[in-house]
Amino acid sequence: MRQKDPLWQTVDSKTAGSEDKTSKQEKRQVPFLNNQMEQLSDKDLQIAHWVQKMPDLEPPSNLLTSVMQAIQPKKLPWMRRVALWAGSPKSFTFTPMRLAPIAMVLVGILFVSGYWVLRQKDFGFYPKQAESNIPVVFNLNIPEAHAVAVVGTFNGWQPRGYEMQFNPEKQIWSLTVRLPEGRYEYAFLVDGQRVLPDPEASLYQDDGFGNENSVMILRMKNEKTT
Amino acid sequence: MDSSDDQQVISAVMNGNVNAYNILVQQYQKPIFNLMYRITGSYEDAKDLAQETFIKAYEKLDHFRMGARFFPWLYTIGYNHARNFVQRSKPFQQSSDEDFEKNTRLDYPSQQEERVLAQIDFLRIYQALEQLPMDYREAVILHYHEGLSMEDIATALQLSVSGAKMRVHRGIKKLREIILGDDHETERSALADS
Repeated sequence: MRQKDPLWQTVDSKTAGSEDKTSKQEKRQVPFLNNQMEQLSDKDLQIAHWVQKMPDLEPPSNLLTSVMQAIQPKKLPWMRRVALWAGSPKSFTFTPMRLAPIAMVLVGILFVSGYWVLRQKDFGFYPKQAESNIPVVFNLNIPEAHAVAVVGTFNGWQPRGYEMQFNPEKQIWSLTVRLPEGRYEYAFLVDGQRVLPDPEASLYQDDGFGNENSVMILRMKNEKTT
Repeated sequence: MDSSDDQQVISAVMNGNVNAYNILVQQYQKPIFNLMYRITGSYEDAKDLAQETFIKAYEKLDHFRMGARFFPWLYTIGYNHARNFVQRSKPFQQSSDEDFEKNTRLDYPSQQEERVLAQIDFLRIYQALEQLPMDYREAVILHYHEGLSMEDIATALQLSVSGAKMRVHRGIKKLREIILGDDHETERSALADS
């Protein structure tokens, strides 16, 4: 524990001669003060020697026991526990009967994962669903409107996400969406209040409330432009 | 036990071997107990504080920086703990000479006369140390008694290295002044008696 300073040798050799009166006035350099060129007198060295040799009180005999009884094993972080577990040697014993369920589970996992991989591969030959949809371009010439959206059976008559963009050059509202094959009824929602059918639609259907919805029928390889 | 031994023991404790802490307590119980005794002046309080210091250090061992020296770190915990205790519970207590003599096992010169002389010297130095401010006294004891380097003293007392040097240097000067003052008093009394 103690790193003995070279001072001790200096002091011990000095004091071993016990009270060398002739050198009382001599100054001695102490190692740690060398850099500062400071010196301790003989008296200071004697005092340092006393401090060095000053006896310690013995600690109570039960101090160690009381400390050890008061402390609990440290709860290690789980990562450290895992590292310790993984770093220590382990032995496993098993019988074929115990191994059978594990083997079955492993074979099952292998089968399912293989099937999944093959299935993914099969679907890979076909274009993705979104790509197979038909692009539909909606146009409405109503430049005085502030906001226009398309609503219809394809979006549950909800305008969110189907807002049209105004083209200042052509002075028309426009939106392109991709839809699967099928028959759709739709209309334009102008400024969030007015519902207008598409004036360029070829089919219309009575909505049962005295208005008409536009109708479009989409088939694969036929791009529908309203 | 050197610093690398301490590191091995601490690693063992950190890996869950609680019994390894036994080695550290054995190693450092004497300086820590003596620190507590110097500060409180009470044998019982010193025992309680030393025990609490070791428990506290055990609980904080996760924060110990591996590679650093353990004793200055432990000493810092003990020193702060004792200072808090003194500030919190009671004014500074001076230890009595009887207490010191009763609990001291001087295993020094074999001859009775030298033994008595040594006791007188040690009692005088001990009393003089008690008159030093706490941080000066601890700096002097850590350097000259425990043999710590200035860097370790700075760590233990939470000072700069130059601050530690200053306290050690001034501490020994103050000790000399106190002791020489006592000597002069004794001489004056002797002259007056004659």
